[in-house]
Amino acid sequence: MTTAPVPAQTAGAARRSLIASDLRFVLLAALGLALFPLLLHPIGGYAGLATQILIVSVASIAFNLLLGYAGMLSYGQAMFYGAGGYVAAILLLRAMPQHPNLWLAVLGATLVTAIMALLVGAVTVRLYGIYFALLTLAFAQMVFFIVEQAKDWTNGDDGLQSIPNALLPLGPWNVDLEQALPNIDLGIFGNLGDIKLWYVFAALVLIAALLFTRLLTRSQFGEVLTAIRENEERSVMVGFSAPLYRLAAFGIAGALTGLAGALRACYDGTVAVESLSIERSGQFVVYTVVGGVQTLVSPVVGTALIMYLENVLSGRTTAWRLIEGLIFVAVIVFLPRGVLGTLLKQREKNPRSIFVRALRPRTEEPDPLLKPGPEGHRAGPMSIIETFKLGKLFGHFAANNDIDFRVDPGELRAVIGPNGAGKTTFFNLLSGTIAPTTGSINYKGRDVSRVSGTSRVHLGIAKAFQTASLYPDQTVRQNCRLAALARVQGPFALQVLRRSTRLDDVDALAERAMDRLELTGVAEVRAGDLSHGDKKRLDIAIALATQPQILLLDEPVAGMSKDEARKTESLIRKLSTEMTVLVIEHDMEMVMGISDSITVLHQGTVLATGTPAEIRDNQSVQEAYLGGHTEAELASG
Amino acid sequence: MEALIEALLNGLVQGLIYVAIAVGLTIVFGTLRLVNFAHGAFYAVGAYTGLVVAQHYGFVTGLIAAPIAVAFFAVVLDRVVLRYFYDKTPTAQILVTFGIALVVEETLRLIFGGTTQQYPTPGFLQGAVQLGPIAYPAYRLLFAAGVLILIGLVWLFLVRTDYGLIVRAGTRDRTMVQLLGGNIRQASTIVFALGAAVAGLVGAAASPIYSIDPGTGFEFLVPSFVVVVVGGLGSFWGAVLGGLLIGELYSLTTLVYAPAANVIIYVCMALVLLFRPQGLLGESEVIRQS
Amino acid sequence: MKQALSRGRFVAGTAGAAALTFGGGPYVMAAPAKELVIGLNIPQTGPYSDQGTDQKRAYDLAIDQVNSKGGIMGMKVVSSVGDDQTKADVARDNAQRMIERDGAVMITGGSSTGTALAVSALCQSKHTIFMATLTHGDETTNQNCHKVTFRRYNDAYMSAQSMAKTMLSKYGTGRWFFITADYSWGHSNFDNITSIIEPKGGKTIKNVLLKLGTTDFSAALAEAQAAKPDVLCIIEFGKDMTNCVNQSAQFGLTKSAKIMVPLVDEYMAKGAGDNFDNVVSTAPFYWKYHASKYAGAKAFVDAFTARYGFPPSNGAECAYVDIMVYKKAVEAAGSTDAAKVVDKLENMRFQFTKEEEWYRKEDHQGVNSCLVVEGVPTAQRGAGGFEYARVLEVHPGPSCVQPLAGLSCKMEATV
Repeated sequence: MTTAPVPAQTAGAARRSLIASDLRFVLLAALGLALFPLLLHPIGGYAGLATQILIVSVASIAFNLLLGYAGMLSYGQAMFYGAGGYVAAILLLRAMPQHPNLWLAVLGATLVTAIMALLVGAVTVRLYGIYFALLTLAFAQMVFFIVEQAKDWTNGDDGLQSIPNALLPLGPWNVDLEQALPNIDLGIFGNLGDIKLWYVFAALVLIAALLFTRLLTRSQFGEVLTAIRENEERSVMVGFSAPLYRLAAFGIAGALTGLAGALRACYDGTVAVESLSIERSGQFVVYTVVGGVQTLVSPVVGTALIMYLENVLSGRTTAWRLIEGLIFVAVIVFLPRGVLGTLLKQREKNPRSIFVRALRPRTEEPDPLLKPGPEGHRAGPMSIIETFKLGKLFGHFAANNDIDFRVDPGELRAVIGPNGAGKTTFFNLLSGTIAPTTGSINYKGRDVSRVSGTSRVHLGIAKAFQTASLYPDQTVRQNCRLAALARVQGPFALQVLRRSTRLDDVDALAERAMDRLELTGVAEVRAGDLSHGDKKRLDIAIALATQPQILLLDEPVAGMSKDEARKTESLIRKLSTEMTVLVIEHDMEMVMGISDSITVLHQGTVLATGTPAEIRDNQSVQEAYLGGHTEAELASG
Repeated sequence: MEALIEALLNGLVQGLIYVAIAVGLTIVFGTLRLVNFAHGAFYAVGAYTGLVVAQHYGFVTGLIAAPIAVAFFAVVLDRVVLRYFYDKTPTAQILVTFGIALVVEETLRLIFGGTTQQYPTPGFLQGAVQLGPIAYPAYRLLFAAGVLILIGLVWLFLVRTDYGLIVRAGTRDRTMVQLLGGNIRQASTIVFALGAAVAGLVGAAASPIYSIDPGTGFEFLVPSFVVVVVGGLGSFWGAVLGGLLIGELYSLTTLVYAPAANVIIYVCMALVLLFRPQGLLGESEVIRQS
Repeated sequence: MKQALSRGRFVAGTAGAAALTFGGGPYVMAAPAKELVIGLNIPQTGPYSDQGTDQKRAYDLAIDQVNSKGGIMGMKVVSSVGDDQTKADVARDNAQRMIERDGAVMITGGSSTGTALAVSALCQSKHTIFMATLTHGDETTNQNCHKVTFRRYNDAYMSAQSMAKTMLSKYGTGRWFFITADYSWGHSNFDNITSIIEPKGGKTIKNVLLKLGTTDFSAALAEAQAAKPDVLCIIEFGKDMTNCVNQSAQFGLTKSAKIMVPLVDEYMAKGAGDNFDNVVSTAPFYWKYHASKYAGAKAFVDAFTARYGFPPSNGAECAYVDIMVYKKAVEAAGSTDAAKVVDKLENMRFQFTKEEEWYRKEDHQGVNSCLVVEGVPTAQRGAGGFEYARVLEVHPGPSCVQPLAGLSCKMEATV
């Protein structure tokens, strides 16, 4: 059953309904923010606190972007928050004390922190997990101590006081945000006149930040970011440049955090070194985690909750920080979705939370040492892929050793060998997942030994994994679309506002890939729910969606039933009419049945290469592989 | 010249504190794969336990009580909270242990107050020892010797005892050890308690040098993480090497250009993370299944 | 793995927690006309929590005493308390909250110059009086002075003057080694002290500048020991001071040199224990001394001890008097209007616990005496360890206060 391409009419209607939902979101947010200071009043809050909550929430949203969507736990966000504050303060104090301009101060600060984030990010995003967290901590500490020592600029531990009140130029007027709203008594909700224009401005900024993040997470950029977080290994091997995406996310988050810091400094009129401290970085973690990294709005909720509690409790008991710590621990242990997440009770089936994911046992963390390399040029023969003395050492263990290999375009070559022969390692070398220790690899005449896996996908080398590497929470169609997207957009595209659905090629490529692997029937099924056989085929479809010229299949029928295996086999044979296919397999019937030629690996080197008949008759192959079993046993599979 | 020798000795003393804390951290990470931001809390709890006991029962009793109390505390923590987090991502581990560290610090502040306390040192341990051209505090020398012996004992435990063997094997392959029947559960708890006890003992022993306040835990934790990263997460000798290196680096930088001292250790960590992320003595490549 | 908490139980739990938190007493919110709200912005957590807690005790005592006599102009005095955590930004936020939400007409408290400066700036922008309690740095009434801010506590200049003069007269000149906290307070103390001793023949061997929050002073102390000074001047405060003094004992310096620290209070002396024996320092108030000389002090100390079981620290005394002075000024002005009260504060004399004192109009620095004290061994400190010192010399306010000529205070013309 095939589905027709989505008609343009429905696409347009879909877009309109999205815009409508965005408008609803903005209106709801505006309403909520309008009521917020009023609701805060009877429970011990006040307008100034409300303003501060909104400003800090912008930084929490940025943190949520990093942790919840990009999967990056940064323990150094304070460096951007504080830097934003200091830059704004210094600009106002030194550059424009007579005519303090809020736009310039804030924009200047945001620009500086954006650059800072890109510089720090360039260095940190190559690392993951605890290493990344510690490195961001290290940089934040460096910035802290440097600012503390640069007394001529920053006044060191005393901080900068009496920052001039910046005016907001809007057209012909200079708006003073210190002005209050008209005096209207609202009973227990306080007086409207308690609220300054600062609050209105902060609310507008927060709504803009929320809308931006909402668009971003739905955008092409956000889609890829989520995919990388969900399965980085697959994303890299589909052609997305994970480091660039992480860098972009880090830069955006850093700039937003700097914006928040700048606003805070302008509002407070002071800035202190504490804004750069570990405690400050930790606060963002607490705010966001308590709120929940589930939805866009939950960091705002968490920030409001904790800042409110701090304010209210600190006047009542000296144990309030202890209480805050206990709440934090309780949330992590009992409410992994955070406060808001639990209240909204999101479906277990579609958890986008890094935390729900965190509750599942970990998988292997990606190699932090993947680096891209330059491309070389070397004139070569007609073969599509060729290796010269290719070798790979793991410590002292030579997984691959001295492999000379070539395959012609359009061949279906099987790579076989006993367990531990080095087949998967060989494929990993070809696909670029790992770099060779010795020797080289040529692809269409060019030396690609140092080219990254991501780049090789774009050159036309695609791989399907031994254990299917999918995006388990996305549908089959979405899985294929992601791969197709990588093909169409390239390794990186900063489309933070527009969605990928506008790219027609993507849909077409995805459809075709599903069709070739006969997965159209399960197109809307969640990948994690597929049968084993379907998962394996999906893995191949993903590789196919990148429009490869050479397809590497690592045990494509392993674990499948006989019937499934045969069906998949014939699909693969059809594929090999259009492209070169390399297959690692143990299923001898399949290997002998469909291969044009076979390479036998043994103990890391090539034992023999030849037609199926030649290999079957090869004595040394029999001994090595089958431990001396007879030809008859081989033929019966 | 004297100043240089003093700086080297100070660096040694400070470095040894970092080593003692880092050793516990790194063993726990190596065996349990647990990133423990609450490790500094063990140091602080040890210091305060020692203080309370020493004020009533004397200096030496305090030093004995501290690691015992901390080991007990660690086991309780493990049973009640941490063991649910062994298989979670480092992110979740960092967060929960960070929260625990906060709670411990604030509880200590509530009980003992915020001002720095002085740890009662017996008179015979006060005063300076003449080492050639310089006079160096006797207690610090004794402390340095003590920590070195302590580290030696921990090392012996790891290489000579069955528990140590299980622990070291567990560093390589947890599942395998379990399949082979090694009681990794028990060994893990013992390792965790051991690491904590070492930190607690050092906390009590170092207090006459550095004084005690509730924030001490975090103060020593962050540089200890630097040490662990520089030495290599999971490597015992890496922690030793890293600790001494960082201690000396800090001390010598203070001598040459004091304002840079704090920055330099983070620069060091950043450089290691960038160019040799497995640390100076850490494992280099992960072997992949073929 | 723990089960995720069911939604129902969670909501119930939250409601319970909310009831507990908010059920406990009403909020102080824009007080009705019969109440006068004073904001107590004190460190209840952080390195100076002992000082903050003691201030709170004194504030409570003062406010109760004031209310028992009819309050201020018939209005009951109510306090709004905030924890400044010795952080400038938090202190500032607290002050804002106390003014905006609770309607505080006066803000007081604090234990560091950093927080005082932040609160001072905020109060000026809000036209609210700030009686800065424990801030010692010159800036509070010098470079960063404000029309609404009054500081009764001795400043660094006064301490330095008093201490140096006493040292010179009692112990002679000799060679001085300095360990200084590397920020404005440290620098101003160093400049103040050296400007007195050097003209008299005192020799400054070296000044080692150390970062605020240094825990390991051994490098500096080693240098000091090698230099064999007559006086080791440790320009550090709070925890840093305690650490440094304790460590200098380890280097034998407490025996070989005379140690001086610019400022001390009862809790810091306790933290240093026996190592504070023979250390010379200053304080604006010492309960034992003042209670024996002034009836007002005795009344205060007795009331404090009766209520809390132990005597007040010098920060607590300042807190107490800040309330009393404010009351007097408001009643003299007949209003809580900041401009009128400031006018009175600038022009009145008062005596509560010490000799007769006043604030200078030019910078709002309190002119009152500075004591030079010397530590005694813990064995002689009585129960609780509060009798921490003997008084070496008392320097009257006018003799040690900063000369007007050297001031860089540019105060606003109006509140």
